Amino acid sequence: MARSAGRPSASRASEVDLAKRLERAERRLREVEERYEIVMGAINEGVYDWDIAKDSIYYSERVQRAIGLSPEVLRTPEDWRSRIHPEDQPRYQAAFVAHFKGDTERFECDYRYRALDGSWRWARQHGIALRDKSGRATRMVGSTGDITELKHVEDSLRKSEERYALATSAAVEGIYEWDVETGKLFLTERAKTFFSFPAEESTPAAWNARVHPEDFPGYRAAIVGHFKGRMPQVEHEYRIADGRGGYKWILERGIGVRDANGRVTKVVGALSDITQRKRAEIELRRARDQAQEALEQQMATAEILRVISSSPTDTQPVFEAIVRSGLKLFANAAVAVALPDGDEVRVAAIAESDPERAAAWRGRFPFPLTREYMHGAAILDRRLIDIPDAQQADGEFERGIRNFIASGYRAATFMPMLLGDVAVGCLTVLRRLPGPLSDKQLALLRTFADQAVIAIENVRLFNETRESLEQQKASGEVLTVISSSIADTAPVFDKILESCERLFEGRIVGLNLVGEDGRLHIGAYHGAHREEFERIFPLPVTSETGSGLSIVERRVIHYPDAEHGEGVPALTRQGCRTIGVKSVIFAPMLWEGRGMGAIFVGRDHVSSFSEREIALLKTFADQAAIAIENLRLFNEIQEKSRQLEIASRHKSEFLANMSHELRTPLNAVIGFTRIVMRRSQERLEPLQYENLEKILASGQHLLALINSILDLSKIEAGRIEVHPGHIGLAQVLEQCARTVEPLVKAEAVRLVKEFDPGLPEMYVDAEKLRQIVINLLSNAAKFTERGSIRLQGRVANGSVAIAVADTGAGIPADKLGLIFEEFEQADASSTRVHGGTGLGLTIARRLARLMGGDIAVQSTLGGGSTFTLTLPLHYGGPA
Amino acid sequence: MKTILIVEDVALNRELLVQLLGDDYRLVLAADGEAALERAAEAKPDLILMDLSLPHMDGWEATRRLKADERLARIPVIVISAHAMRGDEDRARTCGCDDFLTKPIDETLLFQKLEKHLGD
Repeated sequence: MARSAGRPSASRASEVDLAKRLERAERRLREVEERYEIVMGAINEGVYDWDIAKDSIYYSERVQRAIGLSPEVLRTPEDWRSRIHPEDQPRYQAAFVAHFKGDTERFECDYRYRALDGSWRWARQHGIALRDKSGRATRMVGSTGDITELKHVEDSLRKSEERYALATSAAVEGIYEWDVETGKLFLTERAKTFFSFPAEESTPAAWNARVHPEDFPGYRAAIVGHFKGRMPQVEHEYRIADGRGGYKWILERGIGVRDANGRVTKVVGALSDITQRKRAEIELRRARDQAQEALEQQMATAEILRVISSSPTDTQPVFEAIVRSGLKLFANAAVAVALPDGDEVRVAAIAESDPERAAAWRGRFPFPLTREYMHGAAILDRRLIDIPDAQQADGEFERGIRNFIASGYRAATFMPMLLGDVAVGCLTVLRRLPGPLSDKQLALLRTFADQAVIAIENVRLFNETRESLEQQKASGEVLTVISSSIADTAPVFDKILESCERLFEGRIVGLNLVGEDGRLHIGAYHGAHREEFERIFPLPVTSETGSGLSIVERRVIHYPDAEHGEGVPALTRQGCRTIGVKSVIFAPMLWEGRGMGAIFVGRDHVSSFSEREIALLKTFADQAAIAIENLRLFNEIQEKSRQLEIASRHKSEFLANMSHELRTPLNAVIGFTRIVMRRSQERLEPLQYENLEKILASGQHLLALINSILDLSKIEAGRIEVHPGHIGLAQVLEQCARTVEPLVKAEAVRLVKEFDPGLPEMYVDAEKLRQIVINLLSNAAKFTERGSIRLQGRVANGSVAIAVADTGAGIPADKLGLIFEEFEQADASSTRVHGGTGLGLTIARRLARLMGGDIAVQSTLGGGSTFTLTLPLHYGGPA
Repeated sequence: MKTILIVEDVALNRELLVQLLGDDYRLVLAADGEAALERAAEAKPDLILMDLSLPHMDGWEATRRLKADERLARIPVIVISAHAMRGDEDRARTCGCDDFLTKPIDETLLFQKLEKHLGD
């Protein structure tokens, strides 16, 4: 395999790295989710995600705070549905159907639900269905919140209205007649009683004296207006002392009787008690005001939330929405979002009903970010600064206060925008009229400030997440290219440089490599001025260049300002100037501490690379190093396998030649010996004849040796094939025993066959099985001087065990492990006594393994040896 | 008496075959492939024992030519070779030889083959 040795460790390292980054990205996504939760929390709603097909539902944790029911209680959609008031069920279902059919743009329904304590409360649920291609709703996401309080306000409003209606039908309490000429006032008894009006006081003056001082001018004007003919009648509502220490509201309706000159001589009219109606009206107005205020505030916050959720990538729309909403809620005011920027505070958004004032106020920014100014103090000290009346200020913020008085404001509030322990900005309200903000207004302002923070955080998280996803994608892509181009670094370098250009705004990006001459050469380069750039190479790997320095010091070298920055090597500065680069960064490519080169990225503007960018650049540098190392390994392995192939061919050729060259003289040795033995037996002395026998045996031994070596090399080269067939195991063992019988020292050694009854058929290469068993038996025969050789055959669990147990010399424990090695015999001297090539056991074991089995040995010195061949009953293919 | 052409370049091995067969057959000898073709054409032997590694023209080529020659193609050719690796026999047989023996010669096997191909 081409992929081996060093590379996996490096690739594992970057896998770990990748895993870490993935984990970080997931964490960020969770943060985004949590942020969203906070957004929903601001309007106190729980988010749900309903899989319609599976009818399964997910609730966010906030659902507990929103409707007092935990996600554990609301495991299935039915858990919630069953809590809905039976009377509201049809409406609820109808709203769903309408939305699923596409009749409504979104699902929205108010209904009663059973709270945890068993009481009925009101819920408002929103949702939007997500549809598949065919338009069928497959999922619905939205939020659910408790609106019981809102319903109460609505309720009391309705009640007030009812009361008002009741009151307007109030009965007439009295009739009066006023003789203008005589100055007499006549009141019906009912009226007198009602107003506790004593008879002696029945004069207009006495009546007027009873009118509430605040209402008198209006009353008088109404009378005069009628007298002068401006009004067709007197119709006026006013308060009048009821004679019991209180006031009653009355409606007076009268009409003047005029003489020929048109002068009013008499007025007749009716007095109605409208106290109740008035009270109801006031209450109604108050309720209306309250409802209006609550509604406006809710609308304002909701509006901002909508903007927040629709602009996750930009804070500006959110800031604009905040100041716009603020303007609606604070009369005669200017509202601004201000953000710190370096050592200043700048305005991000401003709203003022008067454009001129707005421009003037905007023109006063930026303010220094110091504690002398209200903005600065609010941000630096994270405190709320409230100035109810600038003209009565205590002397703090003298300059700041002068500033806003000059702009025509009297009161101001500075609300810090807090993110954890840090103020990321300040929400400012300047008012033209003095006076403190109410608690409610302050709370609202705080909500706005929180929302601004959420927007800022959202954008940051969004960018971070997007950036990190992009970066992960880029580094993942590089890894893909690495694994698909092991034999070539160019695609990897290209991919890396392309990613650097895209992710780092690189004007030029390149990769320098340390060559065999120990100097830096261009490995790859993307960007303009290539020729000029090439001209300065090769470069020394020293601190005279950015690349060299990064390699020598094994760290990232970063020059945010290549032209003016300190410590920029002259060559680097010169190079940057040549190719129009203002900011440059170098990351060394290191492999096991050895510098292989460096990646550099140059920008056409002065700027710092972020930590994240630096980390990614390092990753790219590592990946480039991996690619180079891969290529080196690949070449090495290619070379090695080529050498191996040649060596193997040489070996085969050598074996063939050896075989041929040895057989040729052996042919003569064996052939002539046989002729002599056959034709001269009678004429030769017995001793000489025996000598000839020894020559023949030696020749044959040599031939066996040659054959064994060839066998072994064929097995090693995988050129021996297994030819399985069905055989009777007992018959094969019998054959083997018969073959070996002549070798057994018949007088002193017994060959015993101990086969389990009914040995089955085997599916095996019979020839190889025979070769193994004969080898084991002939070994036993050779080494056993007296006693027995037992050939045993057993079958168990689909496996055959054939054992050859002898009563020979046995094998010393320290040699047991060696007897299967080539040319090993337990006792080196035994070769001379027993013959054998020293390859038999090696071949036997290899053949056994080739057929999916093995040979094991048990032996004690002087106690004999048992060799056990195990084979599968059915040969199951190459091992 | 039948005639056997022995093609063998190693004198010692040629001599061995002469001693083994000389009593029972008329023998014609050749030490290389070219000579073998000439002797075969002259003597029209009943059988040819052919070594493979030979100077000038090797046994594979000589066998091929013998078998390509109408007049000689029917003479059985038994290869006797020290090329005893797997595949060597197949390679010899593709040249058209009728039988194959490895060195060192197994006398018994040799006599069996002669009997088979000479039919006596």
